[in-house]
Amino acid sequence: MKIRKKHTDWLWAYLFIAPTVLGLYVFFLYPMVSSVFISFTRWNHLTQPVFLGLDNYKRLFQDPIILIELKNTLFFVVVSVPLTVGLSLIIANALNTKHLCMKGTFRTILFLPYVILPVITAQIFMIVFNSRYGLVNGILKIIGLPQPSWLSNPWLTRMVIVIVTLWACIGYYTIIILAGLQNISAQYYEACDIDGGSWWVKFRHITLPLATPQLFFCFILAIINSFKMFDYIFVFGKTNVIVRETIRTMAFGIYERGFTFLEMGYASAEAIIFSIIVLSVTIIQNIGQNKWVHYS
Amino acid sequence: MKKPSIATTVNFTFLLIIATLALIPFFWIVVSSFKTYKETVQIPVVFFPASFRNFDNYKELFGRLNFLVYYKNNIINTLGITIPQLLLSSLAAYAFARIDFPGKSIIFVSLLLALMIPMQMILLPRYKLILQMGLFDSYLGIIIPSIPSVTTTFYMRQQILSLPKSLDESAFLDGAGHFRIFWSILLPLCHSALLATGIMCLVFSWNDFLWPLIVINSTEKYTLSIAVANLQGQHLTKDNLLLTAAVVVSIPMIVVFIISQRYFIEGIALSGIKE
Amino acid sequence: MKKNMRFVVVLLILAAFLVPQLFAGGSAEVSKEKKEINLWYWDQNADEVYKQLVTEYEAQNPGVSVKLTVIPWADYWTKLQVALPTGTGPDIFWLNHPNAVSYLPTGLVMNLEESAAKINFSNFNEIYYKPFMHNGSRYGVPIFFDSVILYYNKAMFDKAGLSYPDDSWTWNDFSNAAKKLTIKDGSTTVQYGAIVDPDMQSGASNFILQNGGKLYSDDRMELQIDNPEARETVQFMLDMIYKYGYAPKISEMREITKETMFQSGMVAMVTNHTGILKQFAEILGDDMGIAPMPKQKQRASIYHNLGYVAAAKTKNPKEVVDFLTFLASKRHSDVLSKVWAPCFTGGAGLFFDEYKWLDIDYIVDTVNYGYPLPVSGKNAGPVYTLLNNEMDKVFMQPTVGNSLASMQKVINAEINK
Repeated sequence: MKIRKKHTDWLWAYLFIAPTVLGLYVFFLYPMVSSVFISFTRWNHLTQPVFLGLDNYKRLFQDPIILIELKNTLFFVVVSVPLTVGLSLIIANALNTKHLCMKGTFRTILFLPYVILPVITAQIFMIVFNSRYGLVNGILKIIGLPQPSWLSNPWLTRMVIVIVTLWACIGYYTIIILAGLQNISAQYYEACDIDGGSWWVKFRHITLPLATPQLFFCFILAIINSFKMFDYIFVFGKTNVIVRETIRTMAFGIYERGFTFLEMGYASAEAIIFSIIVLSVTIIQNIGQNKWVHYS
Repeated sequence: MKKPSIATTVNFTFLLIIATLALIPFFWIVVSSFKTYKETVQIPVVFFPASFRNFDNYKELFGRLNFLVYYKNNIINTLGITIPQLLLSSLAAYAFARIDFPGKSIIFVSLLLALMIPMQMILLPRYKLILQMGLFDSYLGIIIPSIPSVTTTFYMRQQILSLPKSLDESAFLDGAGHFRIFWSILLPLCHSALLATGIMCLVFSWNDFLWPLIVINSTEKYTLSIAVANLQGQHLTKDNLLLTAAVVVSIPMIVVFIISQRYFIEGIALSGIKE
Repeated sequence: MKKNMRFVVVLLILAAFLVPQLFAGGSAEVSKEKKEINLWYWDQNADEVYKQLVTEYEAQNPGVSVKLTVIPWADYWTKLQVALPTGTGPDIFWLNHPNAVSYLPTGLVMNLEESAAKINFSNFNEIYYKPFMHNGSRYGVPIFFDSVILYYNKAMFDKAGLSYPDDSWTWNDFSNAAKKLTIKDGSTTVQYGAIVDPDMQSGASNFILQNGGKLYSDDRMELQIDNPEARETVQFMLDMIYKYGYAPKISEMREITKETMFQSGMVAMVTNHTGILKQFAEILGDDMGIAPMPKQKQRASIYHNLGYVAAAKTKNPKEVVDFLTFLASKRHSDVLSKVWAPCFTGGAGLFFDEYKWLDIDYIVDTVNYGYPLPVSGKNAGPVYTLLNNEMDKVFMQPTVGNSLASMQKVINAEINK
């Protein structure tokens, strides 16, 4: 009886995952395989690909620009992700407070930035951080602080990009974490109240552990998304070519090489290496989840 | 009970600050949508337009530039993607979360691969696939490749994993099969999560740009994001129109979000276990 | 339960409404009898023009249906590159000089030599279809052109008591006027006299040529910009920015864009191409004046034009050639002149009639001293982008130094990739 059930179980499982998994394999992974083939060629979209063997990869490992791109990518990952997820957790926790009025309004307002098209977001923040008449420098002038030329300095531009990414994404992660927090039974908190626990105790020992499934999701997603950071480099880097070359990321490099400089083969090689790096990080996280993620 | 605690006050103030910061740029967009082009290119920057009754930008967008058609297209695509995606991804998530089957881990990790390759690299192979399927220049050509989603599957898996197994077991003892357990027991408990991920999917497919651009050749099937991109010219962009378009494109999503607020379950959600 | 039921009902109603739409848009709605021609372009300003032209053409040719698709400029080439090789791209599309170099040798573009008599290239000045030639064959029908001129703000000149620029101006006059038109407020410059700009279409290359400097070798396979005349030119321009402060720094100019700076009254003079005439006129009205760019050792103005090219793999070659003939006709030129200056000989007159209140002759004159967009002989698209990037870098420091030499090296490496 039990053995038969196991096999029927498996059948159900495969049936359930079939549409999604097959869909992803056909529309994402199969094209990726094509990409692998292209990475061994030289190709400019219009003519036939020319087979190059491992040349693209050899060039990749000797190219100093790739190293710069890697460093910049890692910078954004290491800085953006903890900030984004951490801040979202704090905000979600604040939104989860009992007897808080205007909760719905706050949720809506925080969600708004996520809704706006990235190209518009970039446009707006170009104006906000404009060195001559931007909002930020305007306020700094009133306070009496120096008003830097934000987009002419690599480090300041990096800061701007981190801030803009934060602004655009916080709503997303907050909603995700909030949904998780709302699943935590109030009984736990009440029990803690009875035992006389402070808000910190509640947060540290109830909220945090029980939110870990959602936090794990957020971390994985945030890391993958910040690896893919590209739009903002493109827009904010338009002002100053030298700044753009200093802060360029791998995702930007892949796009530029493939579509502006028409070296699809080389770009694909970089894309493959890029995917391997992101995959490794994700696998490590996946293994590590046993250590800190609590499922019921 | 009625007097707000310190924690509540602190939280409220904190949220107020954050909300204001989040709102400022949005305020700018809305205000700018009433400006003329001349007002948008002024330096020093003109904050308030001369007249708040200047609806010319809106008239232009809906009149000459035909935005209503693009609205229709967006609705078709977005609903066509979101509803199947929620259903199919949750189904898959259930299997990953609750059933132990051979290859589970490997398959799951392989799905994460799909997130990692930049979209531009897979454009051409995907396009050729769509051509072979005969879906070129059609709504289905946009919708079908966008339905399978790693993010949604992953998220629902996390959600289901956090529901106690005892629910399954009691249902199973009552004679329920996997689908029953999924549909009648676990899924209803994931209301918040489904809503949250549903909205995210809605927004993502509403704003999606690159894939629809590649698939569609007929201007009447264009999506809003393509129409907005067309406002950015080679040498000059009419910023007033662009920002107005931003308002016009964002409003439906905001409305959807506001309406969905009612369905976010407050406080206690877990009440399935009868001890 | 009730909530579930309501939800399901709503879903079903939505599905009933939407599903038919999905399949309605599936395949071409054109009846099988009509031959379809797809025209791709990237500027919405042409919408009205094409709507009218297509209506007229379809009325005269009932068996043909022309489908117009406007694609955002930033992604035009991406979409073209994906669609064209698979045969699902356009039948006729816009092409510019740099991309002509990449596209023409690929065999994806239709050779128009056999149809040359029908299309009648004699209606166009050779300089406009030459960039769309490959191995002696013509591939493109010229559309509209722009050249580079000097725009200036009359009100600012009046205020400073200066006489307007004219065709006697030299670099000295230009520089002196810029000096008098620069207004400072403490340490901030409130008004700049001029914009000097590294752009290889509307900026630096014009000046270099005016000074007798060289850009590319004659076969365009090598960049030879590191010559004394070019260095002198660049230093002159850099001095205006850094030494005298008559012109804004590159970063500042790019943050605000030079068009916006001119339109909002931050700068008195700017060199820009004629395509932007309409927008400037709309904003500045009577305050706007135009003049030829100042001369130094000679006059020079970069011109550029677009061309209609056809896909070699098109399913309807006969109809495409016929439509191209229409696009090369006077009728097309007349309608186009509502928005831009057509390349059709004499066609530009109608466009310029709109602007009789400006010194239009100056624009018409530029044909006499026009130089084509500096485009390399190979790998032109990427090289052109890189050229602009490198020139930007050159302009980010106060002295020319070796920057042109390094730029030359980088560009030549890219040409030969």
